[in-house]
Amino acid sequence: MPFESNVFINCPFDKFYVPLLQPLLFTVLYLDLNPLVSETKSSGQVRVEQIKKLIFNSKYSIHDISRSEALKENDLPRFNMPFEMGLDLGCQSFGKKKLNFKKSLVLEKTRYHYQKIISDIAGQDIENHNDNPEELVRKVRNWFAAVLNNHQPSPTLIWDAYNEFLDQTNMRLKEEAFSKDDIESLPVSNLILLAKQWIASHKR
Amino acid sequence: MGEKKLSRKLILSVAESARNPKNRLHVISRNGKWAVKKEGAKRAFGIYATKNKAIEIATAWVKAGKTEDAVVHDLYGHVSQKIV
Repeated sequence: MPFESNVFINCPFDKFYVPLLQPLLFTVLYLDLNPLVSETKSSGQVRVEQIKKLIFNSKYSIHDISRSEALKENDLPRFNMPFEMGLDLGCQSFGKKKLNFKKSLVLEKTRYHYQKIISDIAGQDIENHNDNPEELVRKVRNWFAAVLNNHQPSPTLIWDAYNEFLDQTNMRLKEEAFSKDDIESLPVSNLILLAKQWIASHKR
Repeated sequence: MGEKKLSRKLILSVAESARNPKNRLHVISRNGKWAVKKEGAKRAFGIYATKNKAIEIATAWVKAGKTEDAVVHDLYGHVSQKIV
């Protein structure tokens, strides 16, 4: 896919984030854009090179820093998302030609939480989703409608489509002997493939 | 660990399901309220203040034979209840 359609998705890939990850990917696909994710668990050096490549090849980026905090007491906060966001913002600033036109959306859980953990990003496009997938769909769709400056399907239409997609797709997966656990831990690449097919048919 | 590859049959059946909507109602969260819409329709035909009221309407449609069945989605979009 061309640079102009690629969206680098910087977020967690654990089971706790799946309820937000799935509608996020679905929304990006519904807007005819191409989400790029780095889900693969590999050695540090290889992984960072993969991420740099994804960032370099994406005009748009979505950084969800809502999980950049300890999930429970005595846990350590997670720094992968802020680190990758820093790489992306650096690429925008120090890169040449097309890289200067890159655009990023930063997502957080509650409004202005970023000021407590990473205040240097003030001035970026920052939206909060309150851990609510419907809210996330609306914020992501509205941001793309603004930066793409063209007509886009309404947030409600996308949210409704996502609900129907889940119902129909999960039913088909069950028919193919996918268990509840299989469905809940469906690899991102599988989900993207199914969502692409479903959306293409749905829009006809 | 390798990923489980999806069969062509599965991929085609998912696409097929989007092309041919069922005679089904969906009860869906709508910005603090609850919408009842026909599968494949662009708009909901009713928005209700509570989930219970939306379920009541969907159930009435099923009982009256106006729709084959209805599914109730949770706040995350997953089906939590089926009305037949």
